[in-house]
Amino acid sequence: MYRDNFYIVPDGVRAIPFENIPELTFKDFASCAVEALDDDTKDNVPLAYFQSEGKFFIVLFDYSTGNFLLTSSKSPKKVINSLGVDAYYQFERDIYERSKVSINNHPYLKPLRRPCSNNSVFDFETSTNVSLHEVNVGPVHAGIIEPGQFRFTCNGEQVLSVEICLGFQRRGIEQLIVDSSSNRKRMLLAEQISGDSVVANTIAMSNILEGQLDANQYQLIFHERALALEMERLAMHFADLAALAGDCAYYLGQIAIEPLRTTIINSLQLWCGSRSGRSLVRPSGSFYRLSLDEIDVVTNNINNVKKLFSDISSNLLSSPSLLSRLDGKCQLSQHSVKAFALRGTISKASNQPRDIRISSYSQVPYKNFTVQKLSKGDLLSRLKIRIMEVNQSIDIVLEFLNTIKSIWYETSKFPVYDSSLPKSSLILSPVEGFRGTILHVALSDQNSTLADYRIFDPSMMAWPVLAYAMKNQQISDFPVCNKSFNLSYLANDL
Amino acid sequence: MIFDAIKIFFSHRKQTIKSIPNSVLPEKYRGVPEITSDGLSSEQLKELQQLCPTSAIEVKPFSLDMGKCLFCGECEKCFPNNIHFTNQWKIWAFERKQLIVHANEKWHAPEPANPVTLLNKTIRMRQLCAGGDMGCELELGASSNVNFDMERFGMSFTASPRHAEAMVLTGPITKNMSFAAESTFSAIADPKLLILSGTDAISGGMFVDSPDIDRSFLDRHKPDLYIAGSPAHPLNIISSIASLTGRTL
Ligand code: SF4
Repeated sequence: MYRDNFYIVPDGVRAIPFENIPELTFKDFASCAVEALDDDTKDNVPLAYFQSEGKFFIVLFDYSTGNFLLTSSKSPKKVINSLGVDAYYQFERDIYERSKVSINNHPYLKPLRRPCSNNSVFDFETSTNVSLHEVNVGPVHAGIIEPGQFRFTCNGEQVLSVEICLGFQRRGIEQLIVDSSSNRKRMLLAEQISGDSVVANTIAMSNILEGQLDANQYQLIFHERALALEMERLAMHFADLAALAGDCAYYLGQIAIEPLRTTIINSLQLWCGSRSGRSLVRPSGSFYRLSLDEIDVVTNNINNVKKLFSDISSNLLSSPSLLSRLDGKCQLSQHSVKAFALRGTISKASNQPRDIRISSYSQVPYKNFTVQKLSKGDLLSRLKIRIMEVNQSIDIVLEFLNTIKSIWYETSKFPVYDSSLPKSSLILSPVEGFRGTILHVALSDQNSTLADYRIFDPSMMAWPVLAYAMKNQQISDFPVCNKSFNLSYLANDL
Repeated sequence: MIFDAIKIFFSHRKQTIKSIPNSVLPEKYRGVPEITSDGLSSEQLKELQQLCPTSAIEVKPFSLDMGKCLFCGECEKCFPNNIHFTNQWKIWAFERKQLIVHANEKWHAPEPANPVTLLNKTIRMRQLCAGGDMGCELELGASSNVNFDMERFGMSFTASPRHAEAMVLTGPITKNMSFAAESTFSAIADPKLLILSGTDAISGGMFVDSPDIDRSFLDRHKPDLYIAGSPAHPLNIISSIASLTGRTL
């Protein structure tokens, strides 16, 4: 039974001493990693598989019970076998890229990110078939977005395959986090992991730096963070919906939804001085408290957004041209979502509801919360799931605003930057960002100093799936399909 | 269907900001700082200098470089009597050193020495993201949304560098994008302008020492406009570009 080979982390625990994590032979490690995914009674999803300090670690999250499962293996070898399933291939490319450990039987062993040297090239697959042609897109794209390179192999208008080359955004942020001289600098780096998920990433890092706080004492701060997280989700879902509407040439939708995002981020600006929520989350405290007046203004704004959005979303879903543009396109089955270990909005649209907010890792209770899901998995479902999540988040925001008002007597606390990490531990910090569960992993040594820091964004797993979803589709569907995924380049490249 | 659409049109009303220069941002917004070293011991000065994540604060003479600053407000919170961020959002410069705020002085955004009037009051820009963290990119995108609507002032972003008069660069310039930055800029016909938006682009921010960054592009090309902020606010983006083209907004 694979569960004997894993350490099952108790509810809500983040720091796990290394001595608790089983150390298996690589053969056992590989077999139990695969076995865990085959267990139909659970929903085990690999959130991380990485090499650090000469060991391999696998971090699974069981979305059905809300527990982490951990195991490790010592492997001094320079060559290992691939685990042989889709869910781990991206991680293996990452391991290969960082450590030059060679991996046998991997179907596609290329570095996850283009190597950072000017004369290096990424050799795209080519076809010798003269009736096919290749289309290159990027790294510089037409719009104001991040760089990345796509190579399509097409038969006429039909896409036979897409290869995606990333790494153009590589800044080496994980190493900078490890090398930072203070936790203050680390927090500021966390703000810059990905500018669309500032709140999610800063919460994840705060949870690592501050250790386990007493929920009763920090109610106010936890609620403020959860509120900001929902506001970020709203803002980014609005951005995605507006972009999708715009791409379908439904401009009323685009111009009506864009200002809703403006309202949300201006509310954040009112609260903390930054439209993207920078400086809002700090370990064990905060600098910017939401005042009672501000609560009223924000509540008013959100109620307004709610009203305007209900009109526009029903109009969106009754527009025949938009529906026919999206319906049935670039479908992803529940089976593929499971096989590729996806989480977040994409998996919810394909009947696989995975969300960490219902687990013991959320620091505040989400009342009457059910994870949204749709079954079809096409472009339209990915649009609809965002509408559903927006409606849900609006209610959560209103509820949290009320709660914060009711516990306003709690004194605010100054952030603490000099706390130390637990000794020789692996620290896990999951947060439900707007794309899905973001996991930060910190490793500490016996002196409690930070030895390694890893960031796992849902985008990293989903990039190859974007290519997969484009198979046999029209090349003209790519922009909409890409927007329906809205993956982060930066959170992959780091 | 059409009636619903018309209804939406009216219920959403016109939301464009009427006057860009008269817009006031909330009190908590961190714009131009006012600084003074009065009452600080040399130890405290050192502490202040060290707490800044990007070494934006200089001690001798006491100054703060807004090209390096992340506008995080950490220094203000620890030394509230010495550093105060006002909500003044007009922060741009035409020379790098103009972004430095000196002690006990009020800082104002400069006038251009020689405004680029040949552009006939319109400017088309090609944006290039080179390691930008999406903060600046989202704000540049927001500059042309219905709220800020920069196109009414003749400013717009274009997909092809061939159609552009300027390149707006964001991000600290990663090694992997240094080649693309060069070729995009060279694809713009002369005379052309280079605009840097955000702290990352202006000084490299916290990434300046990362081995994956290559800022040599900026050794070869001199920027014409620095838009400060982390990220730069859309109001600031629009006003600064207007200023560059000899207008006041
Ligand atoms: S606000 Fe600017 S000067 Fe102050 S600590 Fe942050 S980066 Fe440094």
